[in-house]
Amino acid sequence: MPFDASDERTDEDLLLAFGAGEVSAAQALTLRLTPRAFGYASRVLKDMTEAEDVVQEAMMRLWKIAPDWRTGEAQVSTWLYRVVANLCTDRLRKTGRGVALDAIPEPEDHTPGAVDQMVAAERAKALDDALDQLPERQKQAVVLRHIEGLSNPEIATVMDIGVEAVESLTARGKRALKTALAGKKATLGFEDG
Amino acid sequence: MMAENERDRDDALDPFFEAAREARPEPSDALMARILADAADAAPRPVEQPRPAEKPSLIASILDAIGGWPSFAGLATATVAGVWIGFASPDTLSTLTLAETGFDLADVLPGTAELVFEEG
Repeated sequence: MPFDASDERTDEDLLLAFGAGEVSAAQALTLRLTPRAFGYASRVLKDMTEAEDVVQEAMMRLWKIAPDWRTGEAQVSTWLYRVVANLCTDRLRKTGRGVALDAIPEPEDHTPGAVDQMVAAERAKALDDALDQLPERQKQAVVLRHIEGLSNPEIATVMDIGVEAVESLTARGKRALKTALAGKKATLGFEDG
Repeated sequence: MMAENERDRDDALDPFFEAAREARPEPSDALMARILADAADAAPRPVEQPRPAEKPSLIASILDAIGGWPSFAGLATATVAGVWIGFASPDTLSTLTLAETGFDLADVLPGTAELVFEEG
């Protein structure tokens, strides 16, 4: 069976197919969902190994729930983000927060004309550091909204709060980020006008 | 006015968010492989094939030939000297006594070796 993410079916159709015994449906799901789950978990946990454990556990729960998946209730990705978020919260409570700040490898790019990429890498790092200063729930909401690209109702489901609460968290989080990044404007083009 | 300012200030963060999206750590091939292996393990199994019939035991073979098994209670009351094993087809098989078959009762009835029969 070719290792193929170009399956046209929706996440939900793939999951239902897997739950009905089509094992190969897991391939496309894995390729689609794992990068998102891992990107989020590694940003929250600041540790690649921990993030891998969380994502593997979350995906295992997805495989197990597949036969009982009820259509039309939640998006598969939203469900997965929620499991990942809860597992991350559990880990942070146990181990304390932000253990290995430099565990996330920084992208290295020495090709000629890579100034833009280097600026981007520095911006990403600066944002990462600034996010790390936020209260956990504000950080979660901002990451889910502006990096993972979830809608406010989806974030509300992931975080088990109301939509208004999501908007409040993201607004407060962004204000705090601007304050934290204010000192970077000269080098990173942050226009705090 | 406040909303406009908020929008402007949001634009200031956008390049940072975009940079963060581009810099998203990618999962390793090893992690992907483990997740797929978990899927294979967790996949719902097809209905199991019925187990092949067990090899007929000596007793089953004898009983097949003679067509039946009297109730254990009935056998237990029989004397050692003349244990009759019932059979379904008197036309095809002559009556056997256990002694003629050369088997002990314990061979034919496992578990009865511990039983004590009075000698006839």
